Amino acid sequence: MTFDIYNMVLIMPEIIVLSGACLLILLDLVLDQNQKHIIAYLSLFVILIAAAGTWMFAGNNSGEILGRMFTIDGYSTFFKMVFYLSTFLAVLLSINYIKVEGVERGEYYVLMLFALSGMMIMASGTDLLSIYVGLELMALSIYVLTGFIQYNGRSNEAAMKYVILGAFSSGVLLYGISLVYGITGTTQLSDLSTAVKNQGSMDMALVLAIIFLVAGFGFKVAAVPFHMWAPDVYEGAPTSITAFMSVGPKAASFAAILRVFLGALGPVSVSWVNLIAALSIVTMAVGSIVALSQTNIKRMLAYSSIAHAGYALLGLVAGGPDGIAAVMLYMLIYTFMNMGIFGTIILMRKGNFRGENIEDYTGLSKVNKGTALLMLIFLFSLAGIPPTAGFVGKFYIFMALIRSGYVPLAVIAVIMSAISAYFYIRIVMLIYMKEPTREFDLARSPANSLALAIAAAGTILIGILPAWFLDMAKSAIFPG
Amino acid sequence: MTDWFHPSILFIAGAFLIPFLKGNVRKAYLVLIPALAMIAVFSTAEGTYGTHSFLGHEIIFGKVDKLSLVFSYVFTLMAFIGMVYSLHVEDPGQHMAAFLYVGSSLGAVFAGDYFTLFIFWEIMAFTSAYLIFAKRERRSIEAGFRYLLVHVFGGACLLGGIILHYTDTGSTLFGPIEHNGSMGFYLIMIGFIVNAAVPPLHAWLPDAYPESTVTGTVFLSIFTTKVALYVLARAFPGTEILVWFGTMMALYGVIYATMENDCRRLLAYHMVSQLGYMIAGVGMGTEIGLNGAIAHAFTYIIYKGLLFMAAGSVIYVTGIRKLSEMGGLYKTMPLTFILYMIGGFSISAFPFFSGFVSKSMVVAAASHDHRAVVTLLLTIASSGTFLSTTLKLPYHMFFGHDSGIKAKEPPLNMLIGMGIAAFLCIAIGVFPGPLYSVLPYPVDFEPYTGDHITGSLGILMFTALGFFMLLKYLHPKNLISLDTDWSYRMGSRVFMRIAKGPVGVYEGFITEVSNTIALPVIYSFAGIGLWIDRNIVDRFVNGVANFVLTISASVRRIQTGFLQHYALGMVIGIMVIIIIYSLVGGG
Amino acid sequence: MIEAVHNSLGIPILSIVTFLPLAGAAVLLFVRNAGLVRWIALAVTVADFIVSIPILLNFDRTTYHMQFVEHYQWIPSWNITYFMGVDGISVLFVFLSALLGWICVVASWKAIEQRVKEFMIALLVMQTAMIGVFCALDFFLFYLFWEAMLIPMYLIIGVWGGKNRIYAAFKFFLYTLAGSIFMLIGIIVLYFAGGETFDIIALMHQKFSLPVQLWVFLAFFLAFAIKVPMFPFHTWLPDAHVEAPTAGSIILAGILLKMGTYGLLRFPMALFPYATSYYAIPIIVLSVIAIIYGGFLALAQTDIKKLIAYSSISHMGFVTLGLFVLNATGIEGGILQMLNHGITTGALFLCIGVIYERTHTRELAAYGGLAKAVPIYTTFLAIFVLSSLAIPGTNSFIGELLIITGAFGFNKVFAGLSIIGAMLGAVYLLGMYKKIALGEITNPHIREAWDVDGREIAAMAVLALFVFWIGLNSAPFLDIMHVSVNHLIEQMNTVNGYYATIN
Repeated sequence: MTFDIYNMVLIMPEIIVLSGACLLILLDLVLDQNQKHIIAYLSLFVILIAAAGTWMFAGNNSGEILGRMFTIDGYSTFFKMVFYLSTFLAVLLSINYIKVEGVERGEYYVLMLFALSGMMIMASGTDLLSIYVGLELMALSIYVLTGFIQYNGRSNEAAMKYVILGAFSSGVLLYGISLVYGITGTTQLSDLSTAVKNQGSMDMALVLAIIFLVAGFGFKVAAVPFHMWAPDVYEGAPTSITAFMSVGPKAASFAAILRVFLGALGPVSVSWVNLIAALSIVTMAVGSIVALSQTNIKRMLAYSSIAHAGYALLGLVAGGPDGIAAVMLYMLIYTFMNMGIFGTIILMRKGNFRGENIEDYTGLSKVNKGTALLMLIFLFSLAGIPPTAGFVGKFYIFMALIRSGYVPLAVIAVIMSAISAYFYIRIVMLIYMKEPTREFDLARSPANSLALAIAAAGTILIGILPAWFLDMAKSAIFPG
Repeated sequence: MTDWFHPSILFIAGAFLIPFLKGNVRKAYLVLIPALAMIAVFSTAEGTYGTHSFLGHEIIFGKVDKLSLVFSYVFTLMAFIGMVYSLHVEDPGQHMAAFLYVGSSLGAVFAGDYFTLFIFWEIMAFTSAYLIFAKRERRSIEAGFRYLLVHVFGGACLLGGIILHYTDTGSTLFGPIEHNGSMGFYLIMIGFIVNAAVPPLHAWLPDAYPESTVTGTVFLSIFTTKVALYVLARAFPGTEILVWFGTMMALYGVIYATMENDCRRLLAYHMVSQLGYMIAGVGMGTEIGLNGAIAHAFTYIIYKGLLFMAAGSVIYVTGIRKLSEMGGLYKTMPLTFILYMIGGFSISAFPFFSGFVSKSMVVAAASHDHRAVVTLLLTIASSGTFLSTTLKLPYHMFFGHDSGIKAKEPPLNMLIGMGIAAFLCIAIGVFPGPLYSVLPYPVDFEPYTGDHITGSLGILMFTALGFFMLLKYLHPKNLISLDTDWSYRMGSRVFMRIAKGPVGVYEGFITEVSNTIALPVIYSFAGIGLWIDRNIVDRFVNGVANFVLTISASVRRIQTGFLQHYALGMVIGIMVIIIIYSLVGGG
Repeated sequence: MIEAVHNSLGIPILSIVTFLPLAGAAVLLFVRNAGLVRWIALAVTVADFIVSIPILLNFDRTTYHMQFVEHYQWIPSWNITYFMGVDGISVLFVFLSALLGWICVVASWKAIEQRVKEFMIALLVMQTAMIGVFCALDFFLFYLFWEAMLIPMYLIIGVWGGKNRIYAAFKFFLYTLAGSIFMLIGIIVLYFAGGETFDIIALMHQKFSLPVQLWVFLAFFLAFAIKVPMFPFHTWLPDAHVEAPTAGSIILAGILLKMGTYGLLRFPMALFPYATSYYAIPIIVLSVIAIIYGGFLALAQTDIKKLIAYSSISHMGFVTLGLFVLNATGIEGGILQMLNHGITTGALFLCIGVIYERTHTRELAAYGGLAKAVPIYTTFLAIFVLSSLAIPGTNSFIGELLIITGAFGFNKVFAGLSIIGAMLGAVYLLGMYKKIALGEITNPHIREAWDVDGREIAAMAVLALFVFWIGLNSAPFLDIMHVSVNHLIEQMNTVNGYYATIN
C-alpha cells in the first residue's frame, strides 16, 4: 500500500470538509458575535465544494484505497449526496434558529461539518474499523450538538443520556467487531465475506458477533429495543439538530449496515435475516403505535422516525439489488420530507414560545396558508399517501420485499403504515379543521424559506417523477 | 302506427297542455279530448299496431281485439262523462292527473306485452294516488300513502312475476298463462288481484277511495279495478280459484256494505261486491261467463260511476259524509235523487236497467256451469246489494228523519254528467243488443225471459219488504256510528268490532293490518337494524381503533425517562435475542 | 401487447379532461376574490364537461378495445407507463364525473362561505383524481389517483362539514386507506406474478395460479367493497355522507361509490375470472343483505340526509348483485345502475342541500307542506324520489329491471329477496316524500323559504333530463357498454374453461 497522490485525490471531498471545518474554527476566533452567520454561509460553501468534488469523482476512477479500508464507488457517492443534502438543509435551518435560541456560536457549524465528514467516512468505509472511526467521529460531534443549549436543562439531560447510551452501544458494536476479527481474522469487508463463506454459518460465536453488530447499529438507527434514547434526545436537542440527526446519521448508519450485512455477511444471511425481520416488525409497531399518544411534536416525530427506520430495515431483509436500492432511495426521500417537517417546526420557535406541542398548530391554516400547505405535503408524504415521495419510498420497499417473497412482512408493514397515518393526519386536522386559539408569529427567514422550498420540491418531484432518482439509486448499488 | 292512433297519446300528451289553458277554453278542451279519444277507439279495427324493440324484447303498444276494444269503449265513454262531471273543478293538477290516469289505463288495455303493461300499470298507480292526495287533508294523505304502498307492492310482485315468466318461457307477450303453478304464475296473479281488490288484499279500496275528492272518486271507481279485471280476463280465464274469490267478494262486500255509514265507503264496499261477480265470471272461463263478466264490467262502470257521482254531489253540496246525519234531501235535490235511484236500480239488477242484462248473465253462466252453490250465493249477494245500495242508502240520504239541511241541486255540469250516465243505464237495460254485439264471444243469451224477470223481481221485492219491516234495526246510528269516530285507533277499534260479530272482526283486522300493524312492525324492524348497525358493526370498527390507542397509551409508559431503564432495556433486548437464538439454534 | 385502437381524436383528450381541473386549481391559488374564485371554478368545470362530450360522441361502440389511448414511458426501471384509455365500461363514468363536477360547484355556490378558495381547489383536485381513476390503465397510475383522492376528500369533509365532521373525516380516511393498502400489496404481487408489468391490459391476458387469484382477489375485493360500500364495511358511509357539505355528498354518492363497483368490475372480475365465480355466491349474499338491511336502516332514519345515505347502501347492493350474477344482463344492468344511482342520488343530495340552505334543518319532523311553499322544488324532488324508487319511465327502473332479470337468470331466491328490497325502497322514499312535501306547513322557515333560483334549476333540470332520457331511451347508453361487457363475459368464460381443464 503506497500512499500516493492518487488516493489523496479520491478522498479530496473528505479532506475538503475536514480542513474547511478546521479553518472555520480559526475564523470563528476573529469574528465577533453578530457575524457568526458568516461561518454558516462559509460552511454551506464548503459543503457545495465537497459535493462538487464527490460528483466529479463519481463513477469514473473508483477503487479501494488506504489499504482497502476506504472505497469510492457509486454507492458511497449516492449516500454522500444524501449527507450533503441533509447537512446543507440543516445548516440553512439553523442560521436563524440558533439566533433565536441565543446560542449562535461558530463551533456549531464546525461540529456539523465534522459530523458530515464522519458520515462520509462511514459511507465509504470498507473496513469495520474505518466504519467505526467514522461512526464515532459523527457521534461525538452530535453528542456535543445535542447539548448545545447549555442553559437548557432538557438539552443537557438529552446530551447526557445520548453520550452514555451511545458509549454503551459503541462498546457493544466494538465488541461485535472484535468477535468478528477473532473468528475470521479480518475486519476488511470483502475478505470477511469470503471468510464467512467458508465458515459454517451456524457458528454460535459468529452469530453472537452478528447480534452485537446488530445491537450496535440498531442503536444508531433507533431500532427497537435500542430506541429508547431517541424520544428524549429528539425532544431535548435543538430542533435543527434533531432534524439533522433524524436523517444524516440515520442514513449513514444504514449505509454502513447495508455494506456490512448485505456485503460482508451476505453469505450467512440465514443467520441474521430473521433477526432483522423481527426487529423491523417490532420497530414499526412500537414506532407507529406509541406515536399515536404523543403530545409533543418532536417526540411524535421521534417515534415516527423509529417507525421509518423499521420500514428501511425491511429493505435489508429483502436484500438483493432491489433491497439495497430501496433503502437508498428511502433515505433520500426521508431526508427531504423529514427536513421539511422539522423546518416548519423551527418556524414556530420564536421569542420564548417553543411551539413544540401538537396543539400549538391548531388553526394554522387560517393564518399562514403557505406554511399550512407545506406541512400538509410533508405530513401526507410521511404517511406515504401518493402523489408524494413518501409513497414512492414505501412502494419500492414493498416491491423489494415481495420480490424476495416476504408477502406477510409486507402486509404487516402496510397495516402499520395505516396506523401511523392516523397521527400524521391528526396534525393536518388540527391545522385545517380547528379554529386558531392564538396568534401565529412565524420566525421566517430567507434561509428557512430556501430550505423548505428545496424540501417541498424534492417531496413533490420524487413523488411524481421518481424515474431519475430511482435509476440513480439502482445504478449506484455496491456489488453485494 | 300509421293506420292506428293510440288514444293514450291524446290523454298523456294532452295532459301537459291543461295548465296553460284558462276558463272556458280549458273546459272545452277537457271535454274535447275524451270525445276525440272516443272517436279514435270506435274507429279502430282489430289488429296489432305500434310494435317496437326495446332491450331486445318486442314490445307492442297496440294489441287491439274485441276484448280490449270493449274496455276502451267504456273507458273513453266514462272519461268523457267524468270530465263533464268535474268541469267545475278549478284545480288543473287534478285534471292532469285524471288525464294521465285515463291515458295509462287505455295504454294498459291495449298493451300487447308485459313490459308495456307494467309501465302503464305503474303510471296508473301514481297518477291515481295523486287524485287522492289532491284532497289535501291529513287523512287523505295518509290514505293515499297506504294506497301507493299497496300498489307498489302489487307492482313489485307483478314485475317479479313477469321476469320469472320471461325466464321460464322466454316470452314477454301478454296472453293467457298456462297454469303450471310456477312462482311466476302466482306472482303475476297476486299483482293483478291486488288491483282487483280481492280480499284479503282489498283493504286499500274502502280505505282510500272515500278519502279522494268528489270528482276523483268517480275516476278511481272506474279504472284501476276494471283494468285489473281486464288483465285477469286476458291472462287467467277459467282459473278455478278465481270463481271462489269472486263469490266470496260478492258476499263479503255486500255484508260489510250493509253495516257501513259513510256513504262513499258503502259504495266502495259495493265495488268489492260487484267485482266479485265479474271475477267469478272470469274464473268460470266459459264463453258466457267471460261475456257476462265483461258485459257486467261495462254496465257496472257506468252505473257505479253514476252512483258515485250522485253520492258525491250530495257530499259536494252538503259537505256531510255520514248517512246518519243526512236525511230528507229528496225535497231539495229531487233530480239527484232520481238519478241516484236509476243507478241504484241498475246495480241491483232491476229489469230494464243495465245491471239486469249483465248480472243475470253471470248468474246464468254459473248455473249453466252447474255451480249450484255459486249461483245461490251470487243471488243472495244481489239481494244484499239491493238492500244496502238501493234501499238503505237512499232512504237515509233522501228520506228518513229530516235533518233539515239546506241543500240545493249540484252544478249543471254535474247533473249533465249524471244524466248521460243514467241515460246509458236505461238504454242498455232496454236495448242490450249493441252491448252484446261488442262482447268478445257470440251471445246466445236472452235476459228478458219470464223466469229471469219474475225470479229476480221476487227476490228484490222480498228484500224490500224485509228492509222496511226491519228498518228501525237497520238505522245507521245504532249500527255503525262508531266506525269513523274510532277508526285509526289501533286495538280499541278491533275491540269494538268483536262486539259486532265475526265479519266486523275480520274487516277490522284487515284494515288495521294495512294501517296500524304492518308499517309499525316494519319500522320496529328498522329500529332493530339501526341498533345493530350502530352498536355492533360500527362499534366493532371504532373498538379496534380505540384498542390501538389504549395500547399506545400503555406502551408509552415504558419511556420512563430514566437512563438506567433505557440501558437496562437495551441489555435485556440483547439478552432476549441471544436466548432466542440459542433456543432455535442460530436458525 | 397494447390492445387498443388508436386515438380517434388527434389530441390527448383524456389527459385534457383529467388535468384541466388541476390546472384550474393551480390558477385559483393566485386568485383572492371569493366571487371570482366561484366563477373560475364554474368555468373550469363546465369547460371540463364540454371537453368530455366529444369523448362520448366519438366513442366507437363497435369495439371493446381501449380508445383515446395515451401511452408514454414514465418509470422505465419499474416498467411503469403513463397509460390512459377508456372502453365502454369506463367512458360513461368519465362523463358522469365531468357532469357532476360543475353541479358540485353550483351546489356549493351559496352553501360555502368560509374559505371558498380552498374549497374550490379541493373540489377541482378531487375531480382530477376521480376522472384519472376511470382513465388509468396502469396499476401504478390507477393507485396514484385512487389514493390521492383521499387528501382533498378528507379536507372537504373535515373542514367544511357539519357538527361531527372531524370524526367523519377520520373515519372516511382511515377506513378507505385500510382497504386500499391491501390492494397495493395485491398490485405488487400481480406485478411479479404477471411478468413484471403494471399494464392492466397486459395483465388481463395473464393466467394466474389459483392461490394468487384467490388471495389477490380478496385484497382487491376488500379495497373496493369498502368503497362501494358493501355490508359489513358500510359504516363509514352514513357519517361521511351526513357530515360532508352538499358537494361532498354529491361526490361521495355520485362518483366515489361508483369507483368501488367500477374497480370490482375492471380488476378482480376481469383479472381473476376463476376467483370471481369462486366467490360469487358469498358476494351475492352480502349484496342481498345490503339491499334489505340498508333498506331497513334507511327506514329508521329521521334525518333526510342519513336516509338517502343508507338508501345508497341498498342501491349499491343492487349494483353488486347485478355484477356478480355474472351474466351480460346483470352486468349491464349493474353498470347502468351505477350511472343512474350517480345521477339520481347526486340529485337527491343536491335537493337536500338546496332546502337545507333555506330551512337549516334536515329533520324529517320539521318538514311538511313544501309542495305549497316551493312548488318547483317539490316537483324536482318528486321526480328524483320516483327515479330513486325505480318507477317505470325513470332511469333506475331500467337498471333494476336488468339487474333483477339477470338475478333471476342466476338464482330465483336472491332475485326474489332483492324485490323485497325494492319494496322497502318504496316505503322509505315515499314516506320521506310524504312527510316533506305533503300535508300542512308547520315550520315557519318553510313558509318563508324561497323557491329554487336559476342556477339550481339549471343543475336539477340537467339531472332530470338524464333521469328521463335513460328511463325512456336507454338504448344508446347500453350500446356503449354492450361490446365491452360481452367481451368481458367471453373472456371470463374462456379463462374459466381453461381452469376447468387444469382442475
